[in-house]
Amino acid sequence: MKPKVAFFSFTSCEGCQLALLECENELLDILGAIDVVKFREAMSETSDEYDIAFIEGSISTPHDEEKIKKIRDTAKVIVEFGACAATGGLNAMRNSMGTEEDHYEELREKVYGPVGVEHFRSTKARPVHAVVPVELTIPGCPVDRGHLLEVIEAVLVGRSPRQFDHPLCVECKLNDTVCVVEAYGQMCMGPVTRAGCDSICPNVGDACEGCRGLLPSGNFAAHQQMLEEHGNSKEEIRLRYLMFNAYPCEELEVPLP
Amino acid sequence: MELYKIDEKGLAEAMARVMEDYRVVAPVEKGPKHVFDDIEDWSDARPMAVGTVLPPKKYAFPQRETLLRFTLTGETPEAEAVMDDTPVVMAGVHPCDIAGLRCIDHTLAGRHFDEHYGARRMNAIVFGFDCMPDEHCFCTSVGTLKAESGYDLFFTPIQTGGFVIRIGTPRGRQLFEKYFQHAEGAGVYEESLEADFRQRKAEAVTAHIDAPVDDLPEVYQESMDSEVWDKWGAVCFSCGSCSLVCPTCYCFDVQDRVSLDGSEGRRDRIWDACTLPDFATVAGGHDFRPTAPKRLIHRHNRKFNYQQERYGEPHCTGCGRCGRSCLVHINMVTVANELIAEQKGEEA
Ligand code: SF4
Ligand code: SF4
Ligand code: SF4
Ligand code: SF4
Ligand code: SF4
Repeated sequence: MKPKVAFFSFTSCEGCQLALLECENELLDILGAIDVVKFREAMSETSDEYDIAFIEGSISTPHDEEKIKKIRDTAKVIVEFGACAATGGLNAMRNSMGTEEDHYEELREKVYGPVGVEHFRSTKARPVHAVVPVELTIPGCPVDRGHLLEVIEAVLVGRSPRQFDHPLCVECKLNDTVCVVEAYGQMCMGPVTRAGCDSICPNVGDACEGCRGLLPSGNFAAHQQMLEEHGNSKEEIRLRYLMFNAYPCEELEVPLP
Repeated sequence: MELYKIDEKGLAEAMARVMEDYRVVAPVEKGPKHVFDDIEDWSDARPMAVGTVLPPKKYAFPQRETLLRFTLTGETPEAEAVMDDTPVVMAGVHPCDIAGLRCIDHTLAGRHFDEHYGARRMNAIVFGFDCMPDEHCFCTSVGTLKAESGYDLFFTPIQTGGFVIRIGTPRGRQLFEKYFQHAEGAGVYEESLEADFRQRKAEAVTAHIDAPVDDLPEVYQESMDSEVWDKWGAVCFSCGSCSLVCPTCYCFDVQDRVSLDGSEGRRDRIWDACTLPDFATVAGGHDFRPTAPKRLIHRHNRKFNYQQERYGEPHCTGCGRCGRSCLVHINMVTVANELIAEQKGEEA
C-alpha cells in the first residue's frame, strides 16, 4: 500500500511546495511511490485520510493552532517542511515586535490597517514542534531538493533519515568551496548552522544566512566573537542571528550581543 | 641520480602533450585561493600555489564516492563493486602533500588494502612541484621540506629560469622520455641546482615547532590533561574544517541510498571528521568523545602521537591547511608549542 501523503500550508510563502514540484526528474518516481491526497499547489482533489502530513509554514494564529492539532490527530507522521515549519523561519522575526497579549496589535495595524486589527488574531510565530510533536524535519528556506528526496526515500524504505547534526562548514569543505569568511571576511552563519543544503550559498560566494536553523551544539559565543573580529558590529551580528533564527535563539537560549 | 632541466616553454609544450593523453589536474585560481581542478590549458595551472582548499588526496580518496551498486529485484540482492582506475596526472603536488598520500597509504593501502582507494591511488601519477611557503607552512619542523620519494616526476624551480626535474619511479622515467626529454630547453644536468632554491624555501618558513619532531609523541602523551585543550576547546566550533582539509585524514561514513521504487540502490562513502559533534555518536546515542577539548585531543594526538608511534612518521605534514581554515586560529604549531612550553615549565 502506498502511503497517503497530505501537504498543508500555514503561515508561509508556499515556496517549499514549489521546491517539491521542481524535483522534475524525480517527481514521477515520487508520485509512483506515494499517494498525494491533499496538495493545494498541485491539485484540487482533497481527502481527510492520510498517513504522512507535510507541514509548510509556521504556527502563528489561534486558528493555525487548532488546525495543526487536528492534523496531529490524523497523521501518523508529521514532517516539518521548510524553515517556517522547522524553526519559525522569517516569520518569527516579528516575535520581538509586540506582545502576545494584544495579539501584536500595533504590528497588525501597520501591516493590514484597521481591517487587520479587527479580523486577524496573531500569536507568536512558532515552529510546528512547539505546538505538537513531530517525527521529521526538513529545514531550509526553501527546502533543499536533495534533502527532501533523502527524507522521502527514508520514509519509503522505513529507516530514519540523516540528521545533519553538524555545521554547514563541512559541506563547504566537501565542495572545495572557498570560505567566505577566510577569503572575504563575510558574516557567515555556517559555523553554527545545520548542514544539509550542500553549502549552496557559500558555493557561489555568499555568506550563509542560517536558513536551516541553528545547531543546538553550536558554539555561539565563539562564533559571535569571530564575526566581530572580522569587523562586524554587535548590532549587525544580532540582526543576522534574528533573521532566520529568532525562534531558535529563544528555544536554545542563545545569548545575543 | 641523473638530473634534468626544462625551461618554462618546454614545460608548457610537454604538458600540452601530456594533456592529449591523460586527465590532468593542478591547482587553479578560485577567488583569492586555489583548488585542485581539471585543466585543459597549462597556462591555467598554478603548480607552485600553496594552500589549495583541499589537498590532492581527493583524487585517490574522493569526498563522496560510490563503492557499490545493488539491485533488489531478484530473489536475493545482487551487488557489484564500482571501481575507478582512470589514470590521472596530479601536477603541482608539494612535498607536504606527497607525504600526506604516503600517510594515507599506511592505513588504506598497507596491511589493510582498500580496493577502491588502491585502484585510484595506483593510477594517480604524481608530478611534484616545489613551492614557496606562506605563514602557515611548517614543513621544516616535520621533515617535509624536500620529498625523497612518492613522486613520479618532481620539479624544482631554478634561478636561471625553468625547472630541475627528478625522476622518482620507472613510470616517471617513461613519462619523462615520452613527453619531456625532447621538449624545448630540455637537457641533462650534472649537479643539483636545487640546493639554492631549497635554501631560500627553508628560510621563508616562519612557523616552527619548538622541539624535534621525534620528541612529539612523548609531549602529547604527557599532555592529555593539559589546560591547553580546554582553552582551545572553549572556542572550537566543532566545524570539522581542520580534519576535512587535512592531507592525512581519512575518516569516512558509509550511506546506502535506495531508489524510490525500491528496485536498486548504491552504497556511498563520504568523508567524515573526528572533530564533528556527531562523529563519535554510536548506536543508542552514546557519544564517547562528547566535548570539543576531547575531540581536539584526539585529532592532535592522531598527528603527533598515535599514528607517529605506529608508522614512524608524523601524520602532520606541515601543510598548514588546518590553520588556514580554522576561523578561531587553532593550529598545530601554536598548540604544539604551548604544550612544549608547558612541559618545559613543569620540568624547570
Ligand atoms: S521556508 Fe521559506 S520558502 Fe519555505 S515556505 Fe517558508 S518562507 Fe517560503
Ligand atoms: S563559508 Fe561559512 S559555512 Fe563555509 S566554511 Fe566558511 S564559515 Fe563555514
Ligand atoms: S547556505 Fe545557509 S542560508 Fe544558504 S541555503 Fe544553506 S543554510 Fe540556508
Ligand atoms: S577548524 Fe578550528 S573550529 Fe573547526 S573543528 Fe577544527 S579546530 Fe575546531
Ligand atoms: S594537521 Fe594541519 S598542518 Fe598538519 S597535515 Fe593536517 S592540515 Fe596540514
